[in-house]
Order: sequence, then structure tokens, then C-alpha cells
Amino acid sequence: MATASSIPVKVKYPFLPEAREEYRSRGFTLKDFDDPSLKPIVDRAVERVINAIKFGENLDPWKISEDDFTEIASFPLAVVLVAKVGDNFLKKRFALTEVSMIQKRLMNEREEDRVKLILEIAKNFFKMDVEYGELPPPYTFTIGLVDYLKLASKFNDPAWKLVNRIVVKGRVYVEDRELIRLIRDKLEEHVIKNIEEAEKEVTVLPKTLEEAVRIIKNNLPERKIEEESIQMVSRPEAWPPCIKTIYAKLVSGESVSHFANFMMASFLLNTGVSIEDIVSIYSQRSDFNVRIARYQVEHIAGMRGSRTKYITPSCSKIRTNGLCIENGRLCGNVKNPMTYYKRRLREVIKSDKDKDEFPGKRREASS
Amino acid sequence: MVFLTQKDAKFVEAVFREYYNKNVDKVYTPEKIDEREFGYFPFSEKIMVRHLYFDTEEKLKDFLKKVVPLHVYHSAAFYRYPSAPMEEKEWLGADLIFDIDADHLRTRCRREHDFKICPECLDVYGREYERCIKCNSQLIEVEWVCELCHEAAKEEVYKLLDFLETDLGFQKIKISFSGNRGYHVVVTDENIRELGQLERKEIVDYITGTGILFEYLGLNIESKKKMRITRNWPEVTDPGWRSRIAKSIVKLVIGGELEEIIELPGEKKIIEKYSDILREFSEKWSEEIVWDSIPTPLLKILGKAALEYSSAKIDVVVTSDIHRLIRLGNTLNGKSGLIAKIIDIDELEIFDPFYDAVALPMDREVKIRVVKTPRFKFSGIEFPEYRNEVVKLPLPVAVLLISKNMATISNVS
Repeated sequence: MATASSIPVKVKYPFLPEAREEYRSRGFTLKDFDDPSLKPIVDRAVERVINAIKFGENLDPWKISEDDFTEIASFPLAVVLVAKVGDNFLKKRFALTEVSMIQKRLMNEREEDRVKLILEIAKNFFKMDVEYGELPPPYTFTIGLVDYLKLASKFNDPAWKLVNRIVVKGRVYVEDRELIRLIRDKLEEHVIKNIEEAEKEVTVLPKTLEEAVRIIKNNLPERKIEEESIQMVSRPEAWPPCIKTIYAKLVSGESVSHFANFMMASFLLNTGVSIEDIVSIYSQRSDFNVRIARYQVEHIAGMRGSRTKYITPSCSKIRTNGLCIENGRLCGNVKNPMTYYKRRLREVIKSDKDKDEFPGKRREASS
Repeated sequence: MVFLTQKDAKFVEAVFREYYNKNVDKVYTPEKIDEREFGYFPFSEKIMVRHLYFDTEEKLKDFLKKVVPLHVYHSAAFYRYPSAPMEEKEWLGADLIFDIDADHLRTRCRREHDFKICPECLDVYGREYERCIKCNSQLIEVEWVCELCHEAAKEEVYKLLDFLETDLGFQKIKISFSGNRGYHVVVTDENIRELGQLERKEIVDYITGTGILFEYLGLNIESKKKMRITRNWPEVTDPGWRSRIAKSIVKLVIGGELEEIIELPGEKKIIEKYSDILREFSEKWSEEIVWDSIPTPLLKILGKAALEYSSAKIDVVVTSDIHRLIRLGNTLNGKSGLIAKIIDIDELEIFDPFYDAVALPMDREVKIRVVKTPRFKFSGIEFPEYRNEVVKLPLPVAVLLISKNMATISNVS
């Protein structure tokens, strides 16, 4: 297996300027890819995209092409292909896969290389306010307060909360792995931006690439949400605001925190939705893995592991995790989302009955 | 109505008009005035007029002279179109603002000097009353601000400044007296302007200690006694919250202020139970906290109390609101007739609102009917308690009492 130090930097981090330079210096245009001698690059680009679909975050970051230039050139080409497929799920999935590999590669670098690369990517490439310095362990870097807040305030884990960090004179102390995690989000944005630019710029593809796009399309998973069957069992109009918000994010393919996933799954289970249907909601996520999702939902349902059937987390837990909407103002003094649901459900069912009864009566009256 | 009588409103308005005509140049002009929204309360009604825009300092000053506002504000935010309706303004950024109000602090003096008044009969009631017993009028609240209130607010400003400078590293910080019961602190460092609501909320949580996990501070108070052995205890020399918690625990134990902070009866009981241990600690701890000797229930209370003691009591809504209006510096506050004065950080310690924020001439006297006041010192002069009597007082004192609904210019003969 290849290790971090034996592979050139531009191969491992194909978004960096030196990789781009190398690709550009050969002066290829997209048309040139009809030339059979460049077929290995096209094949590798297709493989990159299909691997993203198949493996997502679990893709092995060391399974790469033997030839350095093929590996380098396949990245921008894969970006073009993803852009031309024009599927939002794929866009996110591809970006997620690429950045998760970069994250793993960075973590695998020798310490001094890692520091150099982090500075190269964070400071030079993304112009982030990051410094390396002598800090009390386990900290290695400081990041400027404003940059820290912009990246970390969307995380729900309390460890990322500013109040739980060491902050000295506007510098937030972070560990290597934490900084890499923050960079990862910047990178993901960057890859998605590249794809979106390619969407605008590239109009016509040569035949070989058209064929590549077709192959990728054939490999896209069939994603059908069983929304209807969920609505048959659990009534979304009776869901509390916090659950509605997470659900909206999930079905649009956005990723949510671990806690939010747990909260959603346990809520749905407790309202009677089947494991199948819950797993289907998660299939919209760009990091979806059917085996893991099923395992986790089954675990929450009490069919695995400790065999405890989990109850839906309380409002105070939800508040602690920053997922409570308007501090419960809309919920009328409930302590658990299930209480809200049961109360609202009664109203919803009653109004269903009213609707069923009144039209009939009116018809009678008018006839 | 804001004042007890129409005549009072007219009187104060005339005083304000004269002030702005002579002193409008003292008014502070915020940076990038042409990107700010302005708003004001007129003397005539209790409605804020918003979405005003002045592209130059002169236009703002002409406006103040002409309109004579009771209160005047500007946005902390910068907009492309400041006078457009909210959704069309195009937000470009905002200063980071903090509001500290003595009203939100649990000062003990409040119960003594705040009361209610009937605007018709001028009878005085306790704070628990809603309507006048004689005429059934809705009572008006009277909030006095004493030296203790001012000092308590200042204490919070110092705590806030320590967070802003030592921890968060902000460079450009402006402090102003609100003109009534508190202080405003504005951070104008350029890189904070683009921070959104979520990021500002993180700063708020940092300063108020909201969501702090004691285990990150080395104080694992949730776990069993056995588990505590290997904790990484906070030291007074540590940075940020770790040192704040350590220092506060020492202060609370040695200074004996613990009982003032603890309010829950259950916790008070625990404090009583450990009173001997606490006394022993207060003698031994002058050099070093012996963390391992603190029983878990007591440590839990000490941790909570230290958090309460160290956090700065800012108005959390103000800071995270990116469209907020704040009082324009060096203008008159209609609740006091004092000036919302911009203060140098070095002057804060000796700043006395009843001296340094007095803007109206002391050498003019006005006859007013005072309903009720405590004793107070104003512009170096001691004033006695007044109870339903007609007195001749210097103009700024008269305006202060009238604006606070403690006096009226009607019925003086």
C-alpha cells in the first residue's frame, strides 16, 4: 500500500496550484480527450466519480493510479464530468469523497510534512488566519477568532463552542485534526465551486466524454423516498418545529449532526415509521451508506447492540445541542417532542374528521 | 404618554431644542454615516420613526436641530440602501455591540428606590400595584438609578472589557454611557463586521458562559468522586475561562461572597453543611486551591457560582441582532436629560454619570412639583429627599426628575 510520504504532493492534493499548473502546462483542451492515448485519464476520471458514488467517505485514499500525471489530470476532468451529469446529490457526494480522502491523507503525513501542508493549504491557498506555534499540548495551531467562528459555529458538538475553547488575544487554539476538519469544509466548498464553474463554462463535450457522462449516469443510485408511506403513518403536520427543520435538511441532501440524526430517527420510530422508510430518508445524504444507516436505525430501534429501544431525546437535550427552534416558543411548554406530537396529532385527527363531516353536511343542505 | 403631563413634554422639548441649537456640534458622527439607518422617538408620540438616512454629518445635525428628538439612534449595521424597507436594505455588515443595563442586574437597591406613581393623583405606590386605588388610572413605573446601580453596571463593563481584550483580542473598542442606567460597548474592528447572527451568538455565549462544559475546564463535576482524581484542574494562571473560574472560586471562598450568589434553598443548605470546610479553605487557599479536598456537591456549587460571578451580564438579544439600532453618541437621553456620553476607557473608573454626563446649564433654576425622590448627589451638589413638594431646582435636575416621572412642571403654584 502506498503511504503518504512516497506520493508527490500534487498527486495527493490535486486542488493545489502546483497540480493545476502541471495539468495546464500540457495545454489540453477537452476535445483532446477523444485521442485514445488519453483514455487512461478519462477512465480514471470516471472511476473517481463512480468510486465516490459507491464508497463515499469510505473510499480508500491510497487506491490511486500508478501514473502521477493520470492521477493529477483525472481530478479536473472528473470535476467536468460531475458538472455535466448535473445531479445535486452527485455534486455533494463527489466533493465529500474527495475531501474525506484529503483529510485522511493529511492525517497520515509525517508531522513536519503535515504542518507544512496545513499551512500551505490553510494560509496560502485559502488565506485563512492560521499560525503554527509553541502551544501547550495537545494544541499545535491557532486560528483567528473570526475565521474560527465562520467555520465552527455551525457545528453542534459542544467541543466546538467558542466558550469551550482556549482563546487568547483573539487566537483560538486547535489541534492538527481539528484544523484539518475545519479546512475540510473550506475544501468541500471549493470543490463544489469548481463544479459549478465547470457547469457554466463547459458547453459541448467531445464524444468520449459524452460517453463517460452516460456511464456515470447509469451508475447513479435510484433514490426514491418513501415520503408517502411516511406520511401515512407519521403525520408531518403534527411534527414539532425542530423535527420539521431537520427533516427539511435531510430530504434536501444536507448533512446534519450525529445528534440530529439520532433525534430524527428515534422520533420517527416512536411515531410508528418503519426502519425501511427511515433509511430511505437518509439515502438523500451525500455520505449515505445503506449498510451503516440501516445498522444505526436498527440500533436505535433496539434490535441491535444493547437492545435498548431509545426514546426521543428531551427538549432540554435538544436545546443543549442547539437544535431547539426559537427556544420552544412555538411548542407550548412541552418537555419532549413526542408530547408535542401527540397533542398536535389529536388536533390534526380531529380536523380531519371535521373536514370529512362538514362537506357532507353542506352537500346535504344545498341539495 | 412618556411624561406626566403635556406641559412637561413641551417643557423638556424646549430645553432639548435649545441644547441642540447651541451644541449640535458635540454630537458624535458614526463611521460611514451614509451606510447607516437612523431612527428616533419624537416628543409627540410613543412610536419610533425608522429608516432615515443622512449622507453627510451636516444633514444629520440639521435634522437634530429641526426635529428635536426625545431619543435618537443609528444602526450598528451598514447597508447599501439604509432608508429602504428592511428586506431591501442589503446588509453589508455591522459593528459588534454590547448593552449593559443596571436594570438587568440584581442590585439590591432597586427595591428601595423604584416605585409606581399615579399620573392623575400623583400618589405613590409600591412596585406590586397596577392601578390607582383612588382613580383607577394605570400606574407608571418610576426607575431611579443610584450610585450602586451605576457602579454595578460599571463592574459588568470591566468584566466585558476583559473578555473583549484579553480573550477575544479586539482592538477598536468604544464605550459610551447610555444616558440613563447603563453602558454601550461597540467593537469596530473591521474583520468582525461580516459576522452573522450565529457567529455573534457564539461570542455572546462566550461572554455569558452559556453552554460551558465544566469538563473542558478540568472540572468534571458531573462524575463520581472516584473519577475526579486525574482531572486537569484549572489554575489562576491558565488562559481564558479556566483562570476566570479558578480566580472566582478563590474569591468566593476567601471573600465569603458565596452566600450572596447562591439563591436556591437546596444549594444554600449544602453551603451550610460544608461551612466548616469552607472556613478552613478560606484560611488555606491564599496560596493554592487544593482541588482534591473539595467534596463533589460543594464543587458543583462552587463551579456554578464562579460561572455566575465571572460572566458579564450583557443583554444577549442586542449583540446577536445584526439590525439593531443603538443610541447616537453624545445626544440627550429623553429618560434623563443626561448626555449619552462617549467615554475614554481610562476615564471609565472615575466616570460619574450625575457629574460627567450633565449637559444642561446648572445655573438656571426651575420650579417643579416633586412627587418623591431619594437623597442624591448631582453635579457635586447634595440634594435631600423630596416628598410631594414644590421646589426650585437647577435645570438639569428638574429635567432629570420630570423625565423620570418623579416630578411635574404643572401644579406648581
